Amino acid sequence: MKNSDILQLKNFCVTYNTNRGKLCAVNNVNLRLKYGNTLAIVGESGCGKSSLAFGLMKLFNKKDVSISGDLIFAGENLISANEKKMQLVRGKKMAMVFQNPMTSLNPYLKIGTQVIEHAQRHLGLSKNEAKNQAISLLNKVGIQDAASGVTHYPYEFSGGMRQRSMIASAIACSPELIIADEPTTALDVTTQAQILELLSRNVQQNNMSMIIITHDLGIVSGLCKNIVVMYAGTIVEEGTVYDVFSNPKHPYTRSLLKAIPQVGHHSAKKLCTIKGKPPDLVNYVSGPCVFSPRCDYSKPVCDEKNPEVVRCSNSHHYRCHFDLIPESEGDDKNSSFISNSSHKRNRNIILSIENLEISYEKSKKRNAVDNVSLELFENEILGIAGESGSGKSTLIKGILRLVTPASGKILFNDKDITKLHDNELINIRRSIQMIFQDPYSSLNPRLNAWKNIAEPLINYENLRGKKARIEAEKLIEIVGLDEHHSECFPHEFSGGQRQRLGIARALAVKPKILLCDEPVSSLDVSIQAQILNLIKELHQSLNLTLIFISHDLSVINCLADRVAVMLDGKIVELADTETLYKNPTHKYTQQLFSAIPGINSFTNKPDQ
Amino acid sequence: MSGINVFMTKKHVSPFFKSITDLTKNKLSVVGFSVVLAVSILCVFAPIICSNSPTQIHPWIGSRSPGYQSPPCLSENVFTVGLSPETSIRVLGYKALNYTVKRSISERLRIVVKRGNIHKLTLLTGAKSLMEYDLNSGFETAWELNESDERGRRLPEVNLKIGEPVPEGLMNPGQRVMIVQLIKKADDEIIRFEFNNEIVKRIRRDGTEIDKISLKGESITSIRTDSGNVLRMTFLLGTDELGRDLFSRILYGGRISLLIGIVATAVSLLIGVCYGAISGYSGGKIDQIMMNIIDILYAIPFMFLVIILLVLFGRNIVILFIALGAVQWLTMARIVRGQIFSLKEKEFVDAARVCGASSKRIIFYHLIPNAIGPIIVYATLTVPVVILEESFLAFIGLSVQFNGQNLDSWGSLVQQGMLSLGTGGERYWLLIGPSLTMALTLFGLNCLGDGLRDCFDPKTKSNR
Repeated sequence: MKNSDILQLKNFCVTYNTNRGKLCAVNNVNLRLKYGNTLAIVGESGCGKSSLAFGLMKLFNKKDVSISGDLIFAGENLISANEKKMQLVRGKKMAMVFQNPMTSLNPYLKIGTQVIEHAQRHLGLSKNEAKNQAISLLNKVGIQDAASGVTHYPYEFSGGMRQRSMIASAIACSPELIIADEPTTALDVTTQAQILELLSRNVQQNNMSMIIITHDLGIVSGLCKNIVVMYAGTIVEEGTVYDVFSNPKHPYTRSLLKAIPQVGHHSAKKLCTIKGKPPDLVNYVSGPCVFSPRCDYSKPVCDEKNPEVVRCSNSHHYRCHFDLIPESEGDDKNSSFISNSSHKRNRNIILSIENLEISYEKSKKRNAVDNVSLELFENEILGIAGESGSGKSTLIKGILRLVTPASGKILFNDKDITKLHDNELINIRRSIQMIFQDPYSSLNPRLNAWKNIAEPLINYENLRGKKARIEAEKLIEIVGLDEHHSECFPHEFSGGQRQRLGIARALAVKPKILLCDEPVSSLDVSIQAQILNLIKELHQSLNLTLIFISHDLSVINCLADRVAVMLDGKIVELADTETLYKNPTHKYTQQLFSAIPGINSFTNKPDQ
Repeated sequence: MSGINVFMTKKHVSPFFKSITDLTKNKLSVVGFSVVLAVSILCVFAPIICSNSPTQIHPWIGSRSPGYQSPPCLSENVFTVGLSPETSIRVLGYKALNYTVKRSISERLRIVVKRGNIHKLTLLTGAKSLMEYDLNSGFETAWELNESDERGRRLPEVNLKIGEPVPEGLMNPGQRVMIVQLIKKADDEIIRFEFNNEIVKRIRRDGTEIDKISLKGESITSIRTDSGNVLRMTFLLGTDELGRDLFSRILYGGRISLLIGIVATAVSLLIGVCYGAISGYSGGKIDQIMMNIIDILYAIPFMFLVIILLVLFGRNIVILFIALGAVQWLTMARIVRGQIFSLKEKEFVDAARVCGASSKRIIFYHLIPNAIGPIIVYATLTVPVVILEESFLAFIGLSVQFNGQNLDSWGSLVQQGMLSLGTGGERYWLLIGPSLTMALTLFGLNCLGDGLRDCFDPKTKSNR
């Protein structure tokens, strides 16, 4: 039993029937998972990870999506199983934890009901038994006061608690396989660590198998034994985590690993990026190597034929024409930035915040920003770290008066922004611009690229028509897009390209200060690295002063000169980046550091 | 700069046009759109399409079923040599026309009644007294004449005899004297007209030329050209009791109905979108007050208000536009307010503020275009509602007027059709024609609206 496969996929395909043609999201995947093992599936968004997971449970509508190949689960081929049969498998033998706990729970049903819902069906529990079972499950996933917890509605739970409830629901029937589809993407770092710990503990205790799908390579290392790297619907590399991380064979895996900003990484070095974006798989015919257009090692043969699977050890396979030699640390092709130590001597205060308090009408109990004082020096990058709800975004929205501060002062150019009249405020906003968090909602979807970028030019500089367009096109080129993109509408761009447009817009009126509100939090690692490099380049070439907000300390580490850590609206620690990373003094900062998934444990050989 | 995957798409489709192209994939809404388009084109080009004027009466024709044909003429057709003829325009443009005209011999019979019995029967031509007269003999029809010598009802074919009681149904009880017109058909005669540039050149009757002739519409049985073609006017959907062409009445009525539907919707759009957008964008107290005002307005029974307005200020079409538009904007304002309320939380609004856009610019340049989907959908669905409301008003007799003249809309056509339906529904076409046209148009508009809703609402999108 121990050595047999719980799951085996042979030539597994998931094909969407779209208006434009067939989209092959999962293409001929062969996969094996042994009982009690944990497998990670990683890749950028749009590489077919979630489609694979949904395909395993056959959660698709037959009309829209066709599944083919062999899907052997616990010795049974489910590929032709009907819906009724699948209902018996789902929840009982195979359970799923979804990505967004905010939307995957039904807001009208009590937590207890939802946790035990399918268990009640599968196991035939009585009402009382079900309730007791639900309480014990919630206890198991670490929800305090589970007895009253079962009677709560989802809105009364935080994101982390909801995800715990989802996990409780998934393990309710003690399934043999748990599929976790990006279970921590929507959560904070500290919560993420707890949830991952909880997942792996439960899986081990109950002797389950788990497939965890993620784009975050960091969380894989401590959690899983095996890893599968997916690109454009195919598996490009698979093996044990140790093998793959210590000796990545496929260029894609290698780029993904290098794109992750690391704590302790030298901040003057450029991050590695992967050019371009995953291909559009509509009407895709297998031919040349799918990764070749983005590959740094691409040679003519790559465009001719699809590489075969190469086995370099019993468990480590990859799909490439070449056998890449491992790179040594020093042999880094990437250029580094000019050292900016000279800027650090320049200590002119450009903006100072004194005892700033901001509160929202709805929650009068607590200030969103509570007595914050801060000084921003010219030409520095100030990072602000903290969990969601810690008031980081509110703080910089307060600087621009997008929210009105309750009290305190924000001094810029000897003027107090909090007391400015609306006409004067326009001048301030001209010198302080902002990059927004979500590139999908920060561009007006009804305006094309150049019109979106020209907005500040039209309003501040009174440019009209052709003049505005020429200026906008210049900006489009500055942020690394092509001139012909100027007619495109936001929906035609990828997330990273949109964020570039957002940056172009912020730069349009040549601001002195640029506020960045988590500009990379919704982007893939490879794209994140591109954007971070761009921001850093622009910071140096345009003499900008930056405030950079992120919940990800490793991102802040690679950019910022100084870091402020925020908790519950207060700044709990403010120090130079190096000082902070070497020697965090506040307890919360230490907690944040320890929560960063163990990227450094790549090279540690697993125990077994 | 790191390389960006270059995509060389030639066309850059705005989201708006993308939605519109999606619409073409929805069969039902394409059908709806075609129906609406067809009806609108027919109505707009009614003067070109309809050969018969919607107001021209042909009393001798009366109410005829769909497809009835008759020679093109008016009640009184006057032809004078040297002048252009006063007749239906359909006969103009011919060089020569041969009219076949019924010749009739008319005779008057005077009936005097004494104590319920017929006392005297006199033929007025030649004052000839009779002992007996059979209304069924010789002459084809008998009509009652009133005091002013106008023809009344047609009389039953009965036998009259002096000294005998008056046959039932002939006279009103208590009536003493009655004049009866007796009409006898004679042979048809052919009158030939020759025209030159639409001016009568020559009139020839029985081989002799005359200067002037007046022909009653009812007497003309056919009009032929020299080559033997028969001129006809066709009533596609039949005629009403006054002999007016129902087809052209429906098309002209459609112009009124559609105009009211579109203009009232435009009024509601203008007020509703501005009001809703301002309310939604302002938020807080202003929003609360503005929405409370809408709640209060909702509480007023608006149909009564419209009726009172129409009664007080006259049934002017402008009043109706305002009145109906004023009812519809409430829902529009609520929808727009809801849209704007959620849209303003999006980051691009903050971005616009950082970019220095004024509130006015944010509302009208950034927010409203993003809410255009629901606005268009609701506007499309408002048009049929307004058409129905106007029909209701017309149905209860408050049809619109312009410069004191009644404008017939579909609603008033349905009402008239219902009134003149007849006891057994003999003249069904008068009701079915306008009702069916209206139903078809409303169906088309609703389908179109539903299709648009599916296209603009990403949640109901079936394609990925």
